[in-house]
Amino acid sequence: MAGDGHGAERTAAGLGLEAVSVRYGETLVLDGIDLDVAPGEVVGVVGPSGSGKSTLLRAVAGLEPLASGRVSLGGRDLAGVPTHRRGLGLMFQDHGLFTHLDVEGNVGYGLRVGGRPDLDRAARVAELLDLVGLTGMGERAVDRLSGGEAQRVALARALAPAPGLLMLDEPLGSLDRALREELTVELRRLLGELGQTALHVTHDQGEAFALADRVAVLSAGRLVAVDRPADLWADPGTAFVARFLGHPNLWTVEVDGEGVVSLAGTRLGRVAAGHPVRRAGPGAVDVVLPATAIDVDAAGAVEAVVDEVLFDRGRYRVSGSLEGDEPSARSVEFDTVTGVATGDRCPLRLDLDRLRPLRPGGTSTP
Amino acid sequence: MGRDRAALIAGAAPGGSVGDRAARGLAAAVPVLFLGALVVWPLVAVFDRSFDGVGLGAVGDVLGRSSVRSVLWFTVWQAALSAGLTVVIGLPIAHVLARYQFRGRAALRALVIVPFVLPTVVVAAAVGAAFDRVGLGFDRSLGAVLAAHVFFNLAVVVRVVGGFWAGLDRRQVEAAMILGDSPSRAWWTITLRQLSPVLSGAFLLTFLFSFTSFGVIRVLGGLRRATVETEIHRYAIARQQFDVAAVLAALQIVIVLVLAVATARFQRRHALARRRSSPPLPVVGPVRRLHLAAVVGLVLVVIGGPVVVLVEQSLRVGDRYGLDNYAALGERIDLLPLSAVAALGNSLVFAAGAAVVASLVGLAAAVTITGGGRVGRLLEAVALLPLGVSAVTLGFGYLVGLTVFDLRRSVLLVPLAHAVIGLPFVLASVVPALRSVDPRAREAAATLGASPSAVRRTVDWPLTRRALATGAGFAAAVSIGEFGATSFLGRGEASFTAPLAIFRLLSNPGETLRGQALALSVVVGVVVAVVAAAMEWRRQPGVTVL
Amino acid sequence: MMRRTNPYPATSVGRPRWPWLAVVTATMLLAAACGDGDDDTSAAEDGTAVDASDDDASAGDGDDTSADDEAGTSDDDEVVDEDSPEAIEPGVTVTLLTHDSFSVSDGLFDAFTLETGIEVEVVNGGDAGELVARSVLTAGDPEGDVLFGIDNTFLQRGLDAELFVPHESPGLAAVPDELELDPEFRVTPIDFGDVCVNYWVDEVDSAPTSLDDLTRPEFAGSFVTQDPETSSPGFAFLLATIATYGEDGWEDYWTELTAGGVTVTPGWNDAYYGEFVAGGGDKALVTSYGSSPVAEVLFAAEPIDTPPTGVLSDSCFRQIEFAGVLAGTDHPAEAGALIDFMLSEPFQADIPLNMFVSPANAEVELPDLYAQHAAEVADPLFLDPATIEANRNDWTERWAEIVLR
Repeated sequence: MAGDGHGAERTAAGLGLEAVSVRYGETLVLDGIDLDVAPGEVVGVVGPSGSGKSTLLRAVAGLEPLASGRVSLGGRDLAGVPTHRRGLGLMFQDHGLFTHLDVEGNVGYGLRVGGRPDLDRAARVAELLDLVGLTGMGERAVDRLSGGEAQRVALARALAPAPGLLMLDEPLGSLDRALREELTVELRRLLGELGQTALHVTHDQGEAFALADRVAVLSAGRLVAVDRPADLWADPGTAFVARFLGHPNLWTVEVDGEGVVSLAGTRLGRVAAGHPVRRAGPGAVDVVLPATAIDVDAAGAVEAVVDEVLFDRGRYRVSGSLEGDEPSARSVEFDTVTGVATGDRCPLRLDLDRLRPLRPGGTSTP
Repeated sequence: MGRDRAALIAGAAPGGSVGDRAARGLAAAVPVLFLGALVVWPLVAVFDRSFDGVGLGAVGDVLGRSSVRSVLWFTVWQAALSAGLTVVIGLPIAHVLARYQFRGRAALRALVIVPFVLPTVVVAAAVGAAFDRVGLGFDRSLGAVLAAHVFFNLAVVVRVVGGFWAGLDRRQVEAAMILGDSPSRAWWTITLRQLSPVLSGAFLLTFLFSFTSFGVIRVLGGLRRATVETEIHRYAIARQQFDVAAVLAALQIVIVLVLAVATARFQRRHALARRRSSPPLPVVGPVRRLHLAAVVGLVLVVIGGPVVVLVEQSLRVGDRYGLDNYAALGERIDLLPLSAVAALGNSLVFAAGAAVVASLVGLAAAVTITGGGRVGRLLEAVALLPLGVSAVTLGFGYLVGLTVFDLRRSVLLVPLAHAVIGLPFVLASVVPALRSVDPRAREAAATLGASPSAVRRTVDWPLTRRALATGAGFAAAVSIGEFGATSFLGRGEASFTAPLAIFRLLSNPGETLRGQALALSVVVGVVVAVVAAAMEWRRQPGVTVL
Repeated sequence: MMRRTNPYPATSVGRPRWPWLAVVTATMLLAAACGDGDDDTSAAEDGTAVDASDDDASAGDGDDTSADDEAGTSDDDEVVDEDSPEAIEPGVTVTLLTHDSFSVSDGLFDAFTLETGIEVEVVNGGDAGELVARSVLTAGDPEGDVLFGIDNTFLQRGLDAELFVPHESPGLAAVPDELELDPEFRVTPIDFGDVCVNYWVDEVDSAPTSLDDLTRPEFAGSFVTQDPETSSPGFAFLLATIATYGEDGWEDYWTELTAGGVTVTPGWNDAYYGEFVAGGGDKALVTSYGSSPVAEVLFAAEPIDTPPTGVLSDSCFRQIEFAGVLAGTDHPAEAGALIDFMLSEPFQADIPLNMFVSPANAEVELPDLYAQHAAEVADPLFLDPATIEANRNDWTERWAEIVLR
């Protein structure tokens, strides 16, 4: 079994969820989740709070009983397998470190209960502390650690027994942004190097996109989308997912038989035959256009009045409105490197090839 | 959430193995059998005997008497007032002992437990004499009763609450203060809230002690003040109207059970996970110095005063001072079946036995109680009965009920009875500690491959060890100071303990006897303080470790 | 073993209730007899006393039976002769259930064990009241084989609860008849003493000489006694006032006493060590024992010849302590043998300086210290056990009405 693992010879296991449901009393917290995680793959699970993300992890860990469905790891059905025999690693947002043990005691815990010999264990602990950048800090008391250090200890502790599946529950949620970004990169590198299968739960889609090979979106206990980050970003599929991922430009456009797309009377351009939006038309179509598909360009076909400008790390995030008489329906957001100010008129070029239709549904509203 | 998470983690999760279930069953069986045999069955037996041929009419008759109702009312409110005062005075002491790092802290902690084992009559006599000598009258009054209850029970609040307090995370209070709470408001909103489970437990224990207090009421309260406890004694012993005594005893049991259930519910609702502990604060700056000085002063006056008087009187030999009374403790005098020192030896053996039994049973009970479920809730309430039920009732229950293996005639019954009385202290200390273990830590351990039993061993145990030491120390102290059960269940020489020797010495006229009784009381106090200090010392393996 | 119930005199059927005035007179005689006993010759035989009395026990048993039981056949005699040595099984442990004040010299029972092979286990069962209460509660299924420490104030309660089976000890021959309150021999008198008002000599201008004196203004507020419901001496003192003033007068006496200010404690030690001068208190008078001055001398911090306390002999109420074989015992013969031993010289001589009461055996010489300092009570007060039991709750309730409310 992977959890009893022996150092580097890990068995990266694949995870399978089939129609997994979890119930708290009358409430269905997870509702028929189907999800496969390939060996070595990192899947990020995102969703608003209360969508069932953490419950999904707990169900996989055996910390919550299944109402129905099946969880398997490495092809082995986990029904009836208690938590401690599942060969998992779990890292919490509030890390749940053992306050009565020092750093070394925490990291070596899983090895100790797994019966690894002392010498072997010490070496493995040192190796992990190196891995997470805490070399030589084994004798520190855990309540004297900084937030970042505590997270690294929690990570090292989870990785030490070489779990078949690593589960990360908001692993970086309590950290400040810079640290979070730094650790995200590190985590990404680490998981890749180790070929670690991982299930990563977060409410922060940015973190999920940065870490995961694929991202799954949960809403009210249901899985509403699973895809590679870039694909999911480019084609969220539903307004709920699009909004959750942070897409600003969600419009209801008119598409005519010629492929001409207009927004509240303003002509945006024309899409080619075979374009998904055209297939959804003709008529009113809900669409999303990524902010990055909009450029400020003197030759642009439409013009927007700038309402607000936010300077963000070298770029301006602009929200404005297209000309017309229904401002709220025609707001548009885009990024630009050129300086703009409120009230400016910007000519915009819209890459309508990246316009995608949205299906109804997938919202978290009951 | 409709489901007890703790139970799930403790192993009730799907797939808890047969071995785990067997271990849990065993953990539940130990306290169930223990309390069943030594509490429930004797009570059933004595009620069966007492109500022999008596109808329910007698019950209504007794309860209908206005004198009984006024006795009941007095019993309850004096106990509530005593417990409230004890908590109010004990809290600042618990706080300083738990939070401040200062020289003499261990000595102060040890001193606090001394009154707990001093015989009422000795303290009353010594303090009364001291009052008389400086020309102050020492009145038998309600005030004297309350003062005595605070004096004797302060240790319960200070140590049970203090032990838990030391493990609290101070950052929450700090966070509240940053958010704009004044320190006092933060204390009310955060600290008191965090302490409430253990505070309610300590309140209940002191309440029960005062509820069934016998010596203090009789000696200091004057004969006009009757409580349910003294009335039971009166009806059972002097009047031998066992049926009336039994009705009163049943009343006690009902009250204890109601309180126990209410407290347990409160504790479950207010249990908080402890994420990390804060190291003790150094005493720097005038504010902390003043604070510390005030609290130490309080302890020295409330506890040190009577102790100093006791020591002074024990050193009096005729018109001079000397160690004669202490020197005499090693020799057997004809009044006693053993020398006082040998009796103290018996006390220590019983204390060790009682502490071990109470700890083992208490730990098993605490695991069952925190695991949730009906058995745990039942245990939690039943374990408190020995404190809240009159000694006469339980003592008679043993005589009537424990005829199997002739247990009532075995000297083992004495340490077992001590363990029964010590058990609530172990639970009061261990259950809140166990409840406050961060469930995340347990879950993390489980995912790392720790079986439920390994989780208990490697996560729960290290975090509750300290609380268990507090509880075991208390059980030992209870045993060393115990008089009623030892006297009632004693088997002569083999169970002749120090408190029995003190009473025997005081039951004959003669100056040297009084002196030796006082000297022996001082020695008992010192022994208990040393035992407590030793446990303290073992309990502090490092600065940062809980 | 069963035959022991057989040979009791016919008188046992109609148990006479002694009129208590007659008892009081009888007790006077008894006191006189005790005084005489001091000069007796038996003391010279100390060394052989054990053997002698034990020989008496085994031989006397049979003798008494055949002599007393006139209806007894010769068969019975044979049974006695065969049984006597067999009835007692060596190696048996006899449990002596007694009160907390029971105390004997080290190794006192060794001679008995050597002689009979019976081991003795002493179990202290609380104070006298608790001892009786627990025995009543376990009647028929007793915790021990012999009960010692039931006194005349509780005797009737024990008899009514059928705690005892009869045992007629040969040692009774040396016991004044006045001490034998049960003609059926269910209990055997072992010792007697007096509960008396004591005073601290240096604290009183003139010693009180009668119960009436206690109500004099000079003693107002300086007397401490005990609650008769929870204290054996407290109850005995109440009985003393009832015996003195009678059913019609005692309440007036207590009303007067209360008006002058009397302190009442729950138990003896709270009174003696908590309120009385001896323990540092300010009360000059206390209800204690006629023998208390003996203990004051024996346990003085610095050697003294004269006790600091005196005894008001007019206030003395006589307490007689009994032993009995508990009904339901598995070892009645051995239990009887223990009672016989308790009436024999070694045990009886050990009593005065250990338990501060007088031995029932009139032939035993009192230790000098005891004889010298124990109060000489010519005319102790006394009440019949049946009367006491019949009125106990009523009396204590009326007492409480007067004194506590």
